[in-house]
Amino acid sequence: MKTGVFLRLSLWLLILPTAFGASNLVVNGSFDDPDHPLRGWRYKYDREGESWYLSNHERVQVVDEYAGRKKVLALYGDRTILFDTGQGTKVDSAPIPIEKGARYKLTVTARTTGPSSRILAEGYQWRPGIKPHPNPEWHELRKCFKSELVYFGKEKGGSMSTPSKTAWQTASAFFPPENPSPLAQNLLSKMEFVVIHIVAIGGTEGTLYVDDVQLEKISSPKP
Amino acid sequence: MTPLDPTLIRIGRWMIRRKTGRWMSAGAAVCLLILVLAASMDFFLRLDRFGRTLWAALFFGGIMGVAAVAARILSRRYPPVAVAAALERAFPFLDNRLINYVQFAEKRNKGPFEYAYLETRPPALDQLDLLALRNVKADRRAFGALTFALLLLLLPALWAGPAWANSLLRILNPFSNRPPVLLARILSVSPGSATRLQGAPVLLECKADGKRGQPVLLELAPAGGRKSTVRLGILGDQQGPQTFVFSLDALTTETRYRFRAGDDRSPLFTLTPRPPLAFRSISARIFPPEYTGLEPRFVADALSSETLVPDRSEIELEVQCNYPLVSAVVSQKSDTVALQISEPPTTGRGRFRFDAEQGGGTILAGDADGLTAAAPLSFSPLADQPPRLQILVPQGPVVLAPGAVPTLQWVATDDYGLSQAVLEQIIETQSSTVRLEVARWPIDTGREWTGEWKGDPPGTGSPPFLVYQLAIWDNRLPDPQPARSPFLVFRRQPLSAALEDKQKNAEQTSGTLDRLIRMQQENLDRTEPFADRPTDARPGQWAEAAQVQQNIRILAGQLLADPRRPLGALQTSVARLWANEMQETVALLVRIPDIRPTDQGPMAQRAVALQRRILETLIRVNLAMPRVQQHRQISDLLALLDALIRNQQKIRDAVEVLPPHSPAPSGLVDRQDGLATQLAEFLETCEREARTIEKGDTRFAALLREVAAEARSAEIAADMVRAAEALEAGDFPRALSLQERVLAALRALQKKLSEWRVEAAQEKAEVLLETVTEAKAKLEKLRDLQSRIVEAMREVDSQPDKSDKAYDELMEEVSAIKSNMAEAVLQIANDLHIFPELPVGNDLVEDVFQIYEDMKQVPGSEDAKAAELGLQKEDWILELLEKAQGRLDDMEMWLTPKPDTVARNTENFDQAELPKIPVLPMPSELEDLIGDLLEQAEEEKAKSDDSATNQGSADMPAGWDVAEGEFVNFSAKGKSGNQPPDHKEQDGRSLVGRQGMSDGETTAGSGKINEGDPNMEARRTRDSPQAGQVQEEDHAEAKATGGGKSAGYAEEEGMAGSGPRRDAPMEGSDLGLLAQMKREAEALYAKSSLLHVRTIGLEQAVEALRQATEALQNNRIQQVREFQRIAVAALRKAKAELDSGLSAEILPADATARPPPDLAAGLADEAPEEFRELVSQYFKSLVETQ
Repeated sequence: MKTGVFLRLSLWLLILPTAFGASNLVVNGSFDDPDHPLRGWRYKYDREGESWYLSNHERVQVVDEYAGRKKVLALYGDRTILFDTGQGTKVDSAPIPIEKGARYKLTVTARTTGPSSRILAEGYQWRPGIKPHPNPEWHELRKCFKSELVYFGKEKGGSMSTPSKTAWQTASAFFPPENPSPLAQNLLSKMEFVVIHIVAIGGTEGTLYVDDVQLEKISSPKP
Repeated sequence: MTPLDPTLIRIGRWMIRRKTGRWMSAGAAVCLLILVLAASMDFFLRLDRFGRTLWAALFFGGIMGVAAVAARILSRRYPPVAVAAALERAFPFLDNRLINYVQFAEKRNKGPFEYAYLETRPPALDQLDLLALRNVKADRRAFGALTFALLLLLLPALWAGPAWANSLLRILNPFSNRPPVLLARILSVSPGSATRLQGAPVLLECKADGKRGQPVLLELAPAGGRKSTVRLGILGDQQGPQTFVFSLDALTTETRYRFRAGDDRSPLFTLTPRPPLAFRSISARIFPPEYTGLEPRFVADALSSETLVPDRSEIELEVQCNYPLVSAVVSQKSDTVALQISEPPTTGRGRFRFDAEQGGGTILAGDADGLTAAAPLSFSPLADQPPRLQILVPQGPVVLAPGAVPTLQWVATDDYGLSQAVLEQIIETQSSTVRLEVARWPIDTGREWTGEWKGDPPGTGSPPFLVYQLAIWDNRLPDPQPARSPFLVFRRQPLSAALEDKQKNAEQTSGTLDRLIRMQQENLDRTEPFADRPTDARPGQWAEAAQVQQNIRILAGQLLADPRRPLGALQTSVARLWANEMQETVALLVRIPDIRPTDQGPMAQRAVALQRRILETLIRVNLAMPRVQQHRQISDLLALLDALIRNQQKIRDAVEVLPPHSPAPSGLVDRQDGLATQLAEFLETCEREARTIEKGDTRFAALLREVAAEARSAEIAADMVRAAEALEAGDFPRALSLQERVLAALRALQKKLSEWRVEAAQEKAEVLLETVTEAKAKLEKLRDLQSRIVEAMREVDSQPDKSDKAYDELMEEVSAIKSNMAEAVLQIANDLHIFPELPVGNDLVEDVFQIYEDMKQVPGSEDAKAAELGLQKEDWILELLEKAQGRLDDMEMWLTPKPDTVARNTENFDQAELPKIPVLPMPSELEDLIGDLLEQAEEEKAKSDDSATNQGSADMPAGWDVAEGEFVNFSAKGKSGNQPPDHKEQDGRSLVGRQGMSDGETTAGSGKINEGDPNMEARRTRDSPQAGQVQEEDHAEAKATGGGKSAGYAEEEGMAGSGPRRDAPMEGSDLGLLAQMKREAEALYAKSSLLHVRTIGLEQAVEALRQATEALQNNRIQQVREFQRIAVAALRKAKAELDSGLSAEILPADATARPPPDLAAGLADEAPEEFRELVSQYFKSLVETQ
């Protein structure tokens, strides 16, 4: 018993400094901000052109615990939301500045009771006429890139991916592509920020649970 | 007052003092307890100054309170009755006698009894033991408390020693700086409260000292995150301070921290993250040097936009950063210029001189936090290049015919301007080289200057070689840069010798061609037997053939490299042969032995076919050579006569302006005399050439003889000599008269030859016209033949006997053709039938932006089988088409991961059924979604093509996969997607998107036609053209497939259509202009050739323009400029040729000929500096030999 306590303590001491030095670029990626669990995430969509998502925020919440994990993002959708009109339920992270030419890894842990998911990184550029500054607002940005999806399971292709209904699954996606086409290069060269885009769409009625959203830089720009 | 009162009062005072003492003891105990408590807290918790002050105030406040209470008690007075009562209570044996006594004594109206009682002796108070009056219990408590407090005050000292006293003193004097005594002490913390780079690692360091075993901890509290404590270690045995370090991997948010060592702790520090120092903008105002004539230029974004900066420009730089600056410098390799930090402090301004040799420079900025930012300035140095001098005439050593004058033509260019030019004659003597300035020109013509200089005819005493050098300087200040021509050499030679050389040259050329043909024939004979069985060749046979073929190419290259262009108009044919067929043949022959035997056959056959083509071309050239040489001879003779007339006219003009009665310049007399010699040689040449031309052109030979005879009978040469004598004698009128007669006679001869020239040209043109007409007739015959074949096939179709196998095969073919034709006809009919009149919005969205999606194709989907889907027409579709209340927003949308495998065959509505389709206004911006094309098997791709459709909607809520569907749509929500459009007509409105067949309306104000359906058919619908001009990004080949806005451009004429012709508002494309220039040059060249006008320069210009056109078509942009430059030089040369006679004939500049590409890439005047000395030495040796 004492040995067990000692081991746990040692492990804790070992992990703690690492935890403080983690390189996750996503703010509140584990949805456990004590004051506002959705701090750093956009879930209310009421700008021009977003009429399909005016009530999106009513289906987004952070639950205290689900299947052994605490503070988990829950995106609910019924058949209408997921399939008939099919706009889905979504959240977007705050824009994260990125280094041009560097490669990034997006890692997400998820589980579902029905809906499928589309989880990806979306690249943004400055809207024309906006002078670059450190704290971009949504209306100052314009989308220019969509990364490959985070695919759960074996099949690494398709436009959606369905996490397991019985266990938490962790999967990753990488961007930008390793050998981009000239078309991709042209648009990637404009990318200044990325936004982690999570949407529950397709599948069957239920809730998509998401936790531990991590974005890490895995390689620096090639000289 | 009773006698007892003084005693009672005294006892009362005693009692008050006792009470005061008790109260003070209790108060002191409380105060001491406060002190102990405060000291204990300070000892364990290390109170700060405020806390200590608070406790001290409480302590001293308590003391003052106690003192106040004591004073109040002391100020009281017990009345005697009260004291007596207290005594009665303390001493019961008094038996109320004392109280009775005191009360009776104080009574005013005393009775007898009272008097009697008072007469008795009062109790003896002095003998009473007053201690019995004490409140022993209270006293004990008070003093006990005091004792306890004192013990508490003193006992900790036994354990803590001076530390306890230190704590007491810290409380008693809270304003002292006396430090607390600790078990451990934190000596320093680094970096304290600081601002650090966002995302950067931070090293937190603590130096501590103290007792062994005391733990050292770090408390971390990220903003918005969980607080945590990290144990860094414990203090060890070693003496002196120890250092504990913690590395924060990345500072991402504001973080508070403090260290704890034993009972000591540091203040709470804050780490504040901040973005790195960065440049928000760098703008520059560039002031080029005055002599360049360039206007100052403002560059708003000197950080990213590449800017060319002239050397020695002054640059005013304004740098704006995201944080206040403390320094900013501009650094070029060796120079550093500090910028001045001005308001706002995020801005730095300064001025520096740009030095091209030191490169673009770097800007370095630093802020108050010690962070720095560096950025290379995107200034590309634009060095002031030395002037460029191109000698147009001569382009090599020149043979001067008798009487001819050395002529120079050049063009000089510079980036910014030219200042002066000097022409020097180089005279070599045995002992030294003398440079004699011949002419000097100040130049103010700007950046380009075309000049010409004609010298005097060399006299009889002149050296055999005249060597000149032209030098030119640009306008750079203060040190103009020079450019010098190579040595320009003119050699005097009699006309007969020159013509003899030409004849030799022609013979050599003919010999070379014969040799080439022989070699090629032999090589063909060597390789042809193995064309079908290459493996039968003995080892090394292919290599030998390749070597021979290589020699053929080298020999042909030498022929082409001869600047005299001995092949004349046939040069181009051989040059193309050299560049294409000859090169490919060598490569094929070399490769044949190295490849697999199965692949050798096709390659060998190709090599043989190429050799045949080479041989045929060489034979054709060889056969045409006599005509070329004859053409050249005629051109030379005509040019010689033209030169004679021109020179005679010049001399006459010079004589006319001579002042009378003055001696004529000797040079003029010599020139007039020289003309006579020149004419004599011309006539001899005419007679000699007549003999050689006789075989080819009898009429012209007779004409030459006639001309020579007429010239002799008219005594033109004699008149020229007489004119020279008259000039020498100063008899100018006679000289003029003779010269007029000479000119008239010469012009008569020229007219005679010109008449032949025009007649011959007309005859040739007629022959050419006839040939072209014949060719056209042949083509028409071929077409008729083709038609008859088709008719025959149709007749076969109606044959009753259908048992023949050949017939079956033919039937299959005919059926296929018929099927295709039927489909095509049906499609056209379908187009005309189904499409409604296009509802046109003429609404262009200027702001269209693209999103690239990295879509992973589903593995295996590229081979998915296509399936058909039938879609009948439904009424609700018409309702949908008509209904549109407003533009619907898009929702989640992505590219499809699978290629389209559904062929949708729709039942279309009749036009009459279709309602009026509403046209929704476009938004101010549109989003396009695009990705790399999905892979799909060609066969399945073709099978999945949909039919043309008019089922559609006015608007739709776009979402989910971007794919080709069964509906057309008029809301322009179509995305470019990641699959090519179906091969069909498409209606509706859309962005520019991908290449495909469409007759809808585009709403994008600009866009690029991306890769799409490659099988474009030129078809037209009835849609009328629409208003608006779409700016096309890049250029894509496109075909007219419907209506639409005018976009893009074409190099050729488009298809005739119902719409009006609308030319682009911008100038024609470079390709179009080049093609036009080439056509014009070709026409001029053909015309000049027909008229026997010297055309070497024109031919070169045509060739250079052809190469420039090819280079532009193949996107070899850098070569275009070079070929254009060559074309311009050739055109200038052509102009110079028209002014000169045989005297400008060019001879080889060196003995070794070079292949054509080298010639094209560098002309003689571009010889590198290091070779000029060699050239000089070569000419020196020539002079010495002479």
